[in-house]
Amino acid sequence: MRMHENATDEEIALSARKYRQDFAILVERYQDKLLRYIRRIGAGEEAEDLLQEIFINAFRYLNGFDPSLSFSSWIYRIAHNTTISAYRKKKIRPHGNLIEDGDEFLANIGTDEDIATELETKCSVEEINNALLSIKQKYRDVVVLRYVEELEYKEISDVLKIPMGSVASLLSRAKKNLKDEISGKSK
Amino acid sequence: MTKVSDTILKKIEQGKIEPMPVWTYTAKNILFWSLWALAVLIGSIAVSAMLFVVTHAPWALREVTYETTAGFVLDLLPYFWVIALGLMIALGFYNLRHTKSGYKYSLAIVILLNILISIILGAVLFIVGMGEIAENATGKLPLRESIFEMQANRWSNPMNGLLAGEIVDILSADDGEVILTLTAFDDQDWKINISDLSDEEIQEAKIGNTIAVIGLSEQSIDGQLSMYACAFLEWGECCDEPLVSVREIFEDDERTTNCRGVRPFEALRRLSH
Repeated sequence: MRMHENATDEEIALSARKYRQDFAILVERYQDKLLRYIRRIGAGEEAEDLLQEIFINAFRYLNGFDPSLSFSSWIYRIAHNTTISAYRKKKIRPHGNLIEDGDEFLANIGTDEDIATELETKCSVEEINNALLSIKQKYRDVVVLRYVEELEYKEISDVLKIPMGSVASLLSRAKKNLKDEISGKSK
Repeated sequence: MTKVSDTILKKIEQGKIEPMPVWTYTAKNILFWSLWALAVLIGSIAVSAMLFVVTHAPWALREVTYETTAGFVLDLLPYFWVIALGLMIALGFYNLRHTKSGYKYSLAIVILLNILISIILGAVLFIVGMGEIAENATGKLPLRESIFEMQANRWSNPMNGLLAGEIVDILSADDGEVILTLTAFDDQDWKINISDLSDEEIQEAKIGNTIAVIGLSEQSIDGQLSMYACAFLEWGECCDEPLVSVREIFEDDERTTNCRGVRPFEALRRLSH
């Protein structure tokens, strides 16, 4: 039985355990968002195949969905893990364009005055992308989730399965690393 | 339905993909919680054993048996149990982190929690005697020396004037010389001359008693192992009360000079009743 289109993600997820067709609603809701996300964490031309694998995994793990989490955090977690596993299996490094809009990215991250004042010239999207690709995966993950996907700390904690305190310290170190990369390259 | 959702549903149907059953998640969660609990329990046993070692160490005999306090402490430290506790804390952390909600807790909190529970439960286990059982049971492991073995080894050092064993014979000569035959822990027999000891002590030496002797080992022509006793103590439970008092003859003119400077006499005096 198909759930009503206005039902919450969590309601649909619980229903999809019994009624497979309802899962399609979740796919429709999240396909664009997740495709952008996995491209941002480095999936290249294999992104669409990876997206399908993510949704199939999500279906497979549906009984493991914990209603105390938001469905969004849960499926982002699956997307993240599936993408990272794909890199490890193929032993490839992430590549591709992590962000499309450099201004928006810098505006989001720009509460940190050090980054804003450190830069003498406006950064190109390419420079930001290169900087993001240069920092460690664990830093890149939190930066993308926070400043591009605009998730809250609790959501990032649920996606990456790390304590909120760790999210905060990773972000702090990530911003510093990013600042060093961007200012180092712009000189 | 969009193309992507259509493709996904077709793949699910064609692949006969079903959601993993609920019990697998429950079982996994139970497993990790159980492993965490087991790690904490073993950690608690380690704590109880450490408490046993510390409370049953021969502190009162430190000056008698070791040159320095540092040497004593280094020998005494329960390295095995400290390492065991460290491993269990790490394992406990790993398992807790893999439970459904365990990832929400910081490293510091999880480790602190594990340590706290280990200490509290360890104290309880120590009170009911688990510490001694664990120390005894692990004493036979390779490269491991329990506190019982540590003490036995310390008192199997006649070249340094320390020897322990069971009295198997007492010979009193007409000239007042009294010789004990002592079977040491390595099953070798020693002749122990206790003539420099007081009458009280000599009377307390009984066949079947295990004693620890402080004295001088002596060379004998016929190869017989022998020792000149400056003091001896009963072997057994230590430190709730002092061991048998030093019974060396106190009057200077009655005592020989053999033991002079050999033993830490003041330390032994402090042990006496």
